[in-house]
Amino acid sequence: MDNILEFFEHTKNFIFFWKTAGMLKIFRIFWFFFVFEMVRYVLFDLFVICIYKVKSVFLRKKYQTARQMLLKQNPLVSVIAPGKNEGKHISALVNSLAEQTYKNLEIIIIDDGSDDDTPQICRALLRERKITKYLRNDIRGGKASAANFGFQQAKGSFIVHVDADCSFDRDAIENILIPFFLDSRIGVVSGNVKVRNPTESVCSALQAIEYLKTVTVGRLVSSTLKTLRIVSGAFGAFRADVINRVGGWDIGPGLDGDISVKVRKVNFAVYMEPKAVCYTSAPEDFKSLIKQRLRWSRSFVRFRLRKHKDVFFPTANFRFSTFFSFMENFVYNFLLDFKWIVYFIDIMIHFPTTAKYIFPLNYFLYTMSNVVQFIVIIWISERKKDELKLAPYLLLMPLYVGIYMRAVRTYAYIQELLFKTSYKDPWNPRKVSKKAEELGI
Amino acid sequence: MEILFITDDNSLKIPSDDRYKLVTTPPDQIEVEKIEGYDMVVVDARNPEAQQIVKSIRQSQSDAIALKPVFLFSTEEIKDMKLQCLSDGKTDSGEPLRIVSHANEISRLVSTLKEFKPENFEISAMLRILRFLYTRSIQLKPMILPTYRYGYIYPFAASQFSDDEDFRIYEILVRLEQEGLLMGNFYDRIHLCNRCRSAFMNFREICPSCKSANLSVENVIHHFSCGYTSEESKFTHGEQLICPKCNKILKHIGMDYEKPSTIFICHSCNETFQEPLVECFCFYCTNRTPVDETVSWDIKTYEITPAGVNCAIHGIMFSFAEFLSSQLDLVEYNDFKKMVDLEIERNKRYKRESSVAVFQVSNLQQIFFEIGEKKNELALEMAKIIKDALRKTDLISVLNESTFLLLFLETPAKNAQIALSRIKNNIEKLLIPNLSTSGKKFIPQITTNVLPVEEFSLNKIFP
Repeated sequence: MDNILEFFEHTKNFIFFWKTAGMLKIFRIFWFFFVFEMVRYVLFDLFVICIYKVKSVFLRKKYQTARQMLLKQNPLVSVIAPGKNEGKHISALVNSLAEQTYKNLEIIIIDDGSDDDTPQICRALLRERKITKYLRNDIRGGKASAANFGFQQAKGSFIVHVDADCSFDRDAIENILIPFFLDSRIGVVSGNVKVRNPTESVCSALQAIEYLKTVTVGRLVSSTLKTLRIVSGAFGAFRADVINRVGGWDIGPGLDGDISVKVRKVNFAVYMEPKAVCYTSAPEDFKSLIKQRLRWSRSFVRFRLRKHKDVFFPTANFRFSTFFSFMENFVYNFLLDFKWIVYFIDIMIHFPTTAKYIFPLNYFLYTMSNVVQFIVIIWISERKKDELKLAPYLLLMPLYVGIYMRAVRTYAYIQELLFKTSYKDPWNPRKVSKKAEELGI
Repeated sequence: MEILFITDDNSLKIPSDDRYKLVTTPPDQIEVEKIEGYDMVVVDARNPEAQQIVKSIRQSQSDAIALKPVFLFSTEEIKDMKLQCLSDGKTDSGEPLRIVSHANEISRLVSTLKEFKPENFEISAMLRILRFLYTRSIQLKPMILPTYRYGYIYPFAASQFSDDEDFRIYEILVRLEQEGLLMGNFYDRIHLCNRCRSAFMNFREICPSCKSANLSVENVIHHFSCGYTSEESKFTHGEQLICPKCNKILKHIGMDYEKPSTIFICHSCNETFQEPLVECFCFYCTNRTPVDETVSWDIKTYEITPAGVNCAIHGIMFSFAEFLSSQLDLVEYNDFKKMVDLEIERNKRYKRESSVAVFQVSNLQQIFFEIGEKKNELALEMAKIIKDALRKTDLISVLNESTFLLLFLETPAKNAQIALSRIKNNIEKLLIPNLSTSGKKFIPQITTNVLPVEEFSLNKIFP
């Protein structure tokens, strides 16, 4: 009873404090949220999504014509799935591909030196003619090598790169191909990757919301602004001639982002198709998630800031959209990541006694911003009811994004900047990382 | 003892003495029917027609001629293995005494054989094989013969059949083993064409796409620094390996690049793949078939069993099929197959179900042998059991001496199974008491199966 009374007393004080503080003080304290976070991720995203929706209405006829062209030309599409020890996922992947509305598919599984039952499973699928080719390298060469090997043996005029643990909506392949017939400058199309296992754990539920925010909405916004800089390796479609032109995949980690930038550099557009839905399994515990995200964040430094730093400078191949895209990425994902430390120190120095009122309101503001973003997600989602089930987890999102992810990211950036840790990541075979480090790539 | 020496070498003078009389005749004047009058035949193996002469002796209708001791004369090693296997031995001098004792032993055993008139050719061939093994006290051994379509030949057994029927040798040997008259020991396993049963096949790797054998295999190269991975030929520029993606020279395997696998390239359709199909191409009938669809056949050496010896001496081989045909309207297998095909079409059209039942008593000869003189009576009872289970519209055919096929028209497999079980049970009830009185402890080995008519195929009569 005493606790409840105490809580009400605190709440009363909290409301009184902010009522008397005035708007100017609130802005002074939360400028970071109002200037950067709300403008960029709430207002701007909402604005661009409105544009996308309006544009979609006007493009409906053109979209239908593009679809007709695709079905009329019926080009051969090579689906390449490189991976190591993915045996347990392959059957689900192949079954999902067999259900596709687009039928002229060539399915190529590239086994990068698996030591599980992948060979037996793939050979059985090959005998049953459920896959077109099974390629195996007895010695592991890394994902880029496997993808390139698959691409070299592929015959399709479009290449769909998928992860072996993915499955697809029945019309996913058809939908991911249509944009190529909308605009001949489109070289790559990203699918809409969602989390398949949101109910398995709090960790996967939070990632499900994160994917909806960053992939479904985030990439759609970038695509509409023509600044998309990454096509997910889990589900991305490429024009075969464009892959040839950029020389295929370079060694990773982060090879999906890398190839997308290479495509932009040769003046092709990178597009996102929200109707091409793919589901992937997200890590179910925070330990595995840290491993994955450290890798992703290190690759940001290695590829965006080192390998492709030329996009920041006015070279011969300078493209404003690529520059803008990289700048946005650099500011929001890198600079502001360190800025929150400055912000935290600022609060502790200038408002040390009122911190107990600041952090709850901060949390409230971020939760509200997540709610607005979630409403946008529901608006554009094709599975509104399913996505709505994630709503309770919105309360945890400020903790997940604001503290957990930010801490992991910051740690990975420092590791990579100071120690080039990505070259030691066992995700790539040592021989490959060693060579990449020698060459500084 | 009178010896017939078949040779056209006039310079060869082999003196007769009081123990044997030697009659020399040139090969072109030989009359097989007249051989019966001699105790032994010696054939000059140097003569190019030697094999044909011995073969014609072994093929004679008369046991007295076919089982006659035949020896080869040659001062050199005889390379014709088939000829050696058809004969009883070799002598390298003009002195026939060394082989006389052997010939006498053969003749003695031949003289113990009872007169027996086989009911058909199959029975005759079976009995001839048993008698040959018994009178020679030898095993029937397979011999490699590259020019022979099955690769292995049993020369004496093969001599009993015409060239176009030679696969029946294998079937007959299997039957003799099933009957307990021969005992087989594994010798080798061969793979035969599933169309013509030839072993002369080319096993070759082919393209999974266009089935062409025009393939080559290449190493796959993985370039470490750019991740480019493809066939070696794309990297090859004269003596150098240059990466087509980044134009770097690959200098050091393990440092710059590796060869993680190989890849096949089809020069007919340009398809690339890592696991070609393997097919068998038959040189005889040009049939192309996947390796797992070839016929796998065990080649064995055979020795005669005590039951086989009895059978060889007394000739108690009984053709139940022959007997059955006198009691029932047996249909030839070819006609039976035509009726089956017709029934499949009728069933498709009128949505009916018909079934084929298979009934095999694998040790039938042994049963008749054990039962002895009552065999006719027993066969009549068995025929009656089968007759009672069949309706007038049903058909019965004989696949071989121990396997019978029944076509039950407009009868689902379930009902046909009931009829077949009735036949099986009644035959067992008939045979088991009769066999127990003979004092031997063995039971009839009866195998049955019922198939919907659409699934009938000789390869699948038993699961």
